[in-house]
Amino acid sequence: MTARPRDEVWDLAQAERTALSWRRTALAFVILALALVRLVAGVGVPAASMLAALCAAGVGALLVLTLRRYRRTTERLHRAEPLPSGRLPLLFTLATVLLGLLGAGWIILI
Amino acid sequence: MGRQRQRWPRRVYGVGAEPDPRFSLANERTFLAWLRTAMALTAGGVGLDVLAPEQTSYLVLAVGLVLTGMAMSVFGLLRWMSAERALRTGAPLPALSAGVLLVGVTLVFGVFIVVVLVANR
Repeated sequence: MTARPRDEVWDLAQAERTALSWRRTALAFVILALALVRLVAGVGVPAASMLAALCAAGVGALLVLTLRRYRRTTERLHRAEPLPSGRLPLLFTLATVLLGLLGAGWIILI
Repeated sequence: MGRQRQRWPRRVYGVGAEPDPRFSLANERTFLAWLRTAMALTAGGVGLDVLAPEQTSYLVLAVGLVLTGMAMSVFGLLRWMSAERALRTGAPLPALSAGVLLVGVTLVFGVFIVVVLVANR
């Protein structure tokens, strides 16, 4: 560990702030998924139930992955290793695009 | 987990040296802010469709907002990549280029929504 203790405190504060940012984003997914399910429920309950199950699984996975990323980030900061990679940003981007597709589908079809 | 798996994307992690972790984390937060902005646009589009009367003008606006949101999320990821790359190689950070366009488009939508609202009074 080459960093001075004081530096490490700053690093960990940054990691925490970043973790909260990830969590906020995951929670935004939760809210948008809920809204979408609520909309679809007006069309048909079976469809909404299926969508709800899928959304719950997907959003739950995203939340768990953000927690895991935070744990890894702090571990690696302690060991002065490289931070986690860009796979989770890609996954979140894909989730946002999927949400957009669902939204566009809703607007155009229903 | 295979810790020695290649870090994705290669285009980013295959160049330069490890930057100060604080910069990488800040870059990550910026990416997430772009994503949340994209999500807000998507939600705005769907919300407009739900709340506004059945009119072509509103429909076009709603779809446009959602498409802008989708474009913005992809832009956010690409920007995160190029910024991380710049951090690793010590190059200057990328310009906001396409971001300016996206923000401009968002503004245009805002103006249009106001115009449509006033016209339909």
